Amino acid sequence: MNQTDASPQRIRKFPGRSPYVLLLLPAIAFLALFYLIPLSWIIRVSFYTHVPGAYMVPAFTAQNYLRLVTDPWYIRNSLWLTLKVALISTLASVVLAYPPALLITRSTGKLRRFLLVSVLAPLLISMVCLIFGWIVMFRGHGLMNQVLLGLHLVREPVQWMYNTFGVTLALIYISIPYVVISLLDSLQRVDPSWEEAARNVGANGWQTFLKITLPLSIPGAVSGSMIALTLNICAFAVPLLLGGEKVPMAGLVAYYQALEVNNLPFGAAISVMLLLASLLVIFVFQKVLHALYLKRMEVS
Amino acid sequence: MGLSIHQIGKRYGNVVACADVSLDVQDGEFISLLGPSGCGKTTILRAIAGFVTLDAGRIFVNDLDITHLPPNKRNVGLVFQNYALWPHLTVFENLAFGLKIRGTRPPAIREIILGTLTLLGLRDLETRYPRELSGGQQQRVALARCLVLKPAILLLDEPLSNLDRKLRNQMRIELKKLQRRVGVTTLYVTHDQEEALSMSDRIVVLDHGHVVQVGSPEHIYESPQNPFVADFIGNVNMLDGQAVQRDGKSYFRVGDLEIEIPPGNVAAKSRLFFRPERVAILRGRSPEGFNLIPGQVLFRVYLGAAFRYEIDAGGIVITADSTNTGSPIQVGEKVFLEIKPEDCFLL
Amino acid sequence: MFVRVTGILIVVGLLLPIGVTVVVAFNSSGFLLPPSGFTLRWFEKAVRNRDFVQGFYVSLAVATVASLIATGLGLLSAFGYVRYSFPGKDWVNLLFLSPLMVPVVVLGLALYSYFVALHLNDTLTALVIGHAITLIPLSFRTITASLYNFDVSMEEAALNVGASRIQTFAWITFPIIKLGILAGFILSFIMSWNNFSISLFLAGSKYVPLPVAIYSYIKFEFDAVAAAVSTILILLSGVAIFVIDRTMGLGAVMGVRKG
Repeated sequence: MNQTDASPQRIRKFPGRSPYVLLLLPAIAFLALFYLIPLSWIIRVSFYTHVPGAYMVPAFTAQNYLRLVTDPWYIRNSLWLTLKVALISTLASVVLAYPPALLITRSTGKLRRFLLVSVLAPLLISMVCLIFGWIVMFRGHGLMNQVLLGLHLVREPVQWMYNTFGVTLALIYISIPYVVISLLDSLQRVDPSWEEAARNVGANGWQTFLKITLPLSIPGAVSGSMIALTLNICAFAVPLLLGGEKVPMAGLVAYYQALEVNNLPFGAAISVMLLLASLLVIFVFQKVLHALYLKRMEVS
Repeated sequence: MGLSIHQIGKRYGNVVACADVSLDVQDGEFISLLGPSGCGKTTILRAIAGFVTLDAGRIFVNDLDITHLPPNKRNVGLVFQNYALWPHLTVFENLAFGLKIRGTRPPAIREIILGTLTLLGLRDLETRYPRELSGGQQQRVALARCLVLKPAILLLDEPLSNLDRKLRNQMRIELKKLQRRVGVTTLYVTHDQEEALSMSDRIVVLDHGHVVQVGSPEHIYESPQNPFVADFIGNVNMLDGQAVQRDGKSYFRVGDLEIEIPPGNVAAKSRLFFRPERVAILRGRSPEGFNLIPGQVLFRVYLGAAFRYEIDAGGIVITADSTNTGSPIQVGEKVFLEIKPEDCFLL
Repeated sequence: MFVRVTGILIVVGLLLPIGVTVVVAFNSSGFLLPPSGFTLRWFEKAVRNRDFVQGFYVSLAVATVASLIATGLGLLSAFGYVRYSFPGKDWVNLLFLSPLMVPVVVLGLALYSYFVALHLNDTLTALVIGHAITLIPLSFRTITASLYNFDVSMEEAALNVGASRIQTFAWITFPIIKLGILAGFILSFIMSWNNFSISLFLAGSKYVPLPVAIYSYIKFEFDAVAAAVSTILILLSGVAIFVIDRTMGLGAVMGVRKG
């Protein structure tokens, strides 16, 4: 601690030379005990073996990981499916997050507040409720099909649920608010005078968006995609609620293996893979962001 | 006619931004809109650029009604107060953007831009990003971005306000010279009277959304038409009293003092104005001069090139400026003030 | 124009599933839309269901205790973090925020296997601890934000007029940041109240929080009773959203910069 710093930020509420240790220790201890150790434990368990009936047996084998990357069923039906669904839903959520984010950026006062609360509300409502409402709307004779049939847009009810399509749609829905938050961060740094200057030199609305606003909001889109992609790769609640075993995304398989099949080591291996995958995504996207900032995309 | 504004008006809720503002600007003229913040000068500028939808009135550029044209169809160049250079584009790309949109061919774009950059002394900076430029350079790039498009009107929104004092004074002269050379009709918004006085062909003084006086810098400074202009531009002594006629001459009576003023019908006016720099301070027991008023120095402010004195003249405090000649008057010293009748005006 | 239309459509789309659930809960014909009449029948059935009633109390207890723990730990550590400089500060920040970055399924599985090993599975303790872990980043972030927003010159002014450091904290600092702490607490509470994923891993058969109870219910029965219970959850979320928005601003709490 810098004793010469006269800044009164440094309230010495506790005696002793290093009060920050006392302040930080409880939380660090709690996290170490119930967060860091469990995470390490699950990595260890992923190397155990599963003996049917005997729960699991301490061992040090890579067989759980090998099973994941050699079994064609997992590669084709789970890993490939997970990647495909995650990428599509991330891309779509970024595209769909732009209009509300732009709308919020351009509005002021009460309207802005209302729109912001509306977009953020799903983040503070239980996933179960959201997906329940989703099921009500999209089930066989639900609202969506009634509307579509009524408008003669389709001849028979669309199968929205219990398939990859429905899960993808729901993941897009869940991701949009997160991406909007990231986009807002970038869009609000776009000085309105930059857009006006573009209009002033002759650009129309679309040209202004494509050449000025969009490039300047790329950092937000990148960090939004990062959040959405990590969420979607590791998705398990949405496929569990909406797809069941018909959409065996990796996160769901991990859950089933650990809690239904009782093969904890294999479930652990899958989740360690997911952890690595999301760390990889974060690492890569951070690199991209860093490169963007270096290229003077940063807008102060 | 370069630019013609007819009775434009705009209000935001209950706040009147501008009301019944009319103005004709000749081709090539340099006009300043001068007024305190909130006087509506920026609203007028943004209305001409198309960023403010007017409640009333029309705007013509070269006799073409542009009132309802979108901003991108107006060919009116706007230099923003914060310059609004696009941070993700280089200087060259910033300048090229508008030309590209117009469909100018790349070789021609290059030629126009290099010509303009040379004109503004920015030739070496074309590959830089805005954040790599100094404030003065950014300001010139913002100007260049407008000039490459050969706008019918150039609008400048307090373009020097973000620069430090020395650079600001230097840029005034540079900007004025450039405007002369390019010959573009220019509307310049500022709250800085020195800027307006030193650069403009004509000045439009605004207050609370209304035009209060239009005229050349000399006209505005020497013959303000109302107390607001007199007070806002330059420093001024303002005395309340009443005008009296005697022996075919006019006098202004303030308390026990009587000051001779130019002859004329001034009966209805009760405020006398004169500039501090027009007050001569005379030392000695009984000097000669017009309107000699005895007084005592109360306070002295050192201004470098000049001194400013506050002088008690029989209960009335008068401000007088005199150049620093090396022998300042001491506080407490008894002096005489000379105010020539022609330097006085009543409003 | 295009932005306005699509933007509004997407915002409406985001709210639609929530709205539909609430409508169904009060609709006498249940899922049959358009609504045919107002009824509280589904709520009556819901409160007569033992799983839901028990789930309500479990959720309430877990959310209260977990968010108290998270707010307490968040407050202490936020003070330590913001007001002192020390080596490894960035790592401490990363540690406190990282539970948000670790995939829920990984965290759930890790906690599940850990509590199984500790013979703590299917207890309220396990649920509380599991929830608290996910809440610490939220309360830490909210409280550090309000400490950073705090204008230190207010403390300087208090010290300048002769207040001791403890008096300064009690009379100046705390009253100013208490809204931030409250917002952090409410946010934590509602996140725990709503939590489904971690609960699913940690709930056995004895203590089943409400969201998991809804899931178990709709697995076998799909009627408007689930809509009624969902509506109760949504209603509490609505209150939380309202209070947070009035105190700190929902945008600020969720990490949106002021526009």
